[in-house]
Amino acid sequence: MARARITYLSDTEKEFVHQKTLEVLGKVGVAYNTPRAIDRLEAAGARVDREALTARLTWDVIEPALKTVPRTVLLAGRDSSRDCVLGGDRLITTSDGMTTYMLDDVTGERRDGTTADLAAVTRLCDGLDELDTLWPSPNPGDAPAEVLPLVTQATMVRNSTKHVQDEVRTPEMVEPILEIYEAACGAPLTERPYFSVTNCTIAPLQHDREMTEAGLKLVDRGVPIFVLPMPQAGTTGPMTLLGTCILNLAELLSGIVLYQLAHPGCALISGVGSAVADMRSGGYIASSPEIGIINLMCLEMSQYYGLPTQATGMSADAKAADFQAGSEGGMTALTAALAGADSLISAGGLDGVQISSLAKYVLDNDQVGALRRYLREEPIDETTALMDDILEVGIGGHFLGRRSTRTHSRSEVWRPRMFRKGTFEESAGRPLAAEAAERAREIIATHEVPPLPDDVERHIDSVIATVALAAGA
Amino acid sequence: MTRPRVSYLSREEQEFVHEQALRVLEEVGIGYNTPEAIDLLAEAGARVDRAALSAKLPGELVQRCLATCPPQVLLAARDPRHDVVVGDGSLTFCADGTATYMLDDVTGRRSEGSAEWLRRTMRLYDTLPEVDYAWPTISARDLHPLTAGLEIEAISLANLTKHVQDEVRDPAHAAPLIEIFEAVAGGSLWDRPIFSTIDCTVAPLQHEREMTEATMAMVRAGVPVLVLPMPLSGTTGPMSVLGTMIVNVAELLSAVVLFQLAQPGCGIISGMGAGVADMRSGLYLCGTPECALMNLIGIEMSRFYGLPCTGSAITCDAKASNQQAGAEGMLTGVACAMAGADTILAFGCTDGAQSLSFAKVLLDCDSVGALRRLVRDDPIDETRALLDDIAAVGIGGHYLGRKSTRQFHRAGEVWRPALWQRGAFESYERRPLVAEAAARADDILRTHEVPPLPDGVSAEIDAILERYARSVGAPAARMNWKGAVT
Repeated sequence: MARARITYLSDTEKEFVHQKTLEVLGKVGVAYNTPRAIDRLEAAGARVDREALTARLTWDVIEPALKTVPRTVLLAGRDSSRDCVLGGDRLITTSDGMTTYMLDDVTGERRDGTTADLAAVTRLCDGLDELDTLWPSPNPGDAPAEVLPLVTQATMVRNSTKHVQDEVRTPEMVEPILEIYEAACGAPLTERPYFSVTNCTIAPLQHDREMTEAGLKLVDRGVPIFVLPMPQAGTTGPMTLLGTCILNLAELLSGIVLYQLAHPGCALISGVGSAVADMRSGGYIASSPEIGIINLMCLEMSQYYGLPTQATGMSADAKAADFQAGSEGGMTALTAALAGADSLISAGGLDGVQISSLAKYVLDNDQVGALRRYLREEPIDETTALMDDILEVGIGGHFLGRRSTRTHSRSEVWRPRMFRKGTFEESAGRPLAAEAAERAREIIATHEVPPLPDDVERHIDSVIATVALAAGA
Repeated sequence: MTRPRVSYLSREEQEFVHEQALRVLEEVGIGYNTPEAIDLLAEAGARVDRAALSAKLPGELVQRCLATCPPQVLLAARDPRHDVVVGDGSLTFCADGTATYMLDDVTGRRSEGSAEWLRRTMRLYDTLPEVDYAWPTISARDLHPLTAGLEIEAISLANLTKHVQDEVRDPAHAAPLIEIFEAVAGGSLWDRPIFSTIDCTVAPLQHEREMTEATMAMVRAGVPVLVLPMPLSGTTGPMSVLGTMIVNVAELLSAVVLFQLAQPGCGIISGMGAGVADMRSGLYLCGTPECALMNLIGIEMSRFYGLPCTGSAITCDAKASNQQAGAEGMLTGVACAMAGADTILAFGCTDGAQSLSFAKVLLDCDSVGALRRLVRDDPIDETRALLDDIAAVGIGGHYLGRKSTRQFHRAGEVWRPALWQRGAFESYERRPLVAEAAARADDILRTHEVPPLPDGVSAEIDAILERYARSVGAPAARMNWKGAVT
């Protein structure tokens, strides 16, 4: 069987990176910024500083934590037909999360995202069959701030039955958010983990108090956590890709240790959020060859630690669903997928994931389709070689009339939905991005998502109303 | 030191492909379609069919001919600073071809190629450091058909100081072309092969008479050859990636045998032209995931044989320089670069190499820059781990003030695109990428001058062309290689 596979670090080099990561954790340590974390770390034998709320971690604390991390993670849907297993044979794809703006793909203008946009994008992603799970985008800027996370989650469960991944930034939001998800799927998340969260560490070497305290509650409730370090080479990380990866891994392991101590056996995924800073603007570069290398190193090291993974995939710095967007996304997604990433963040985001583009969701759906064809494992033998046909057709002639041509054409050759094949004339006067945006609007208008039962709808409304009331809104 | 590498076939699987290709060569054989080839093959021990002009090739003959292929091939340039050695471990990028149409990136309309467009294209390539050498990317449809084959090369060499690679379709063109190339090289092509020839086999399992005879003449004058089999899954190749590549490898080996017999030790580069037929339109597809896998197999098999190779990547079926074009280019490009292709075809072609887009030439330069950074060999050691900085910055804080930040930033740790749009959204409003790229190409063409050929050489080319025009009865007045006549 043949399957394309990218490798980067040698075994010796992996060992080197591992040692350097331990050196950082042992000598510098990590700030957890909450006594709840420090208590657990101290009990496990880490050297802690109660005043600074920091801890130094050694291999004897890290190794047992790594051993209890499950290799595969169920990402349940609202119903079981949408369940995915991360870490299995299939590459899981997720839409880009937390954009601020919506792009008008025709005029090139952007505007603030709204709840209606979030609903539309969610419905669109529910209808795009190469996308497995969703990360809310754009941020519903029109929702009242005190219930914004709840409006977001309510919009997600009402407009899609696919699994949702998002952040929970404060411990107070844990219960109401989980209530929405448990109501929507009709089961506790410990049984049906319909919701997962990303936990962003703060480079260099810190955890955010509120998000960490939320994380400690979430693992007890069966919610898988994507630990997502985000050092940027040049600003919050050292200028080399290697140094930035070492920092990424140190932060990753610090998160793994904490959550495994809090709830041994809880589902954790290594997310690769490291990037490079644009040294002119200080901004974040989401897609570049360096991101490709950072993904390679961090994926290989996560595999070395036995952790399931999620890589930055089709993200783009491009300002529109254009050549640059295709090229940037193509490069980073292919590199990560061929390096064995278990899941990829891979649709819809532009301008360093600040903008959502309807056209890009639809076109990325094709890019993911192509990627999956590329990744397919194929037998290399006389049957797939079609030797009988080659020998019989012989010199000259053609294969059009062969039975194998008919039987194999659908399975052998991937077919895009939007990418253009065929003649130039068929495409003349029909710009791809405009047509993709049109297609997106069509899907949003016609794609049906099974409605939630009335009592569930009412329950979700009451959860939001209760929080709003308590906040005095 | 490390760089990303991609692998597809295991060693056993490579052996399998090799064995099946040999089986095709031994059991089915190859249509060479010229007695000139058949004579050589018969003499070398192949079982030939003189009536059918075909030959069955024993494995032993294939091995013997592979053994005389040089592992490296010099592609010399008019300006020696642009010399390229294919197979020396470096990665080079060659401009693709051959488009029939010129695409207007702003209106989306296309028009037929012309001598003037070819001149502009070559001048554009001359100035772009990402382009290491080039095919004459666009057909000059307005040239007289009897002399076009010669004039295209004269135009290319006059407007590009880099190596030129192209087909020679007619054996009658070989002698005058060799004269032209020697005039430009200032000596023998054995020393300074400023031109290499492309030999397209005709799938399944055939060689075209005229091109084969022309290529035999070219290799005998010291010209290296790029062998480019082009079976298409579903029409001229079987409907599987693997089967199509077995046909590709069989055709490659059949060319290796012929040209090594014609000129032992001649430089041969393995090219990948295999693709997929669009079963609805019958058209050639080159940007699909299957084509990327074909390239992987082709590159791995070329390395198996010790042949330098050219991957067909950074190409597309998209009809314009849009997201599809970018995605298809990287789909094929990333794996080609990581699999160890010596050269990758790139720059400008859209619509299955039917149209040329100047915007895409420029945008592909950024793709090439990104790919070069992606596959760069980097050390994994203390000097790059920056542990001292990590310890000194500690928890919180930042790296902006660190000396290493300045030092590694300057040293190119982070690649910078020329055209791709980074930074604030506001700074790019109403500046569509493609329009900017097209404008950039116009700017370059307005200012860039290519050093002219020396007067003596130019006059010599005139004389060779006139002599040839007379011999075939073409009007010398139609000659347009210098752009004197429009």
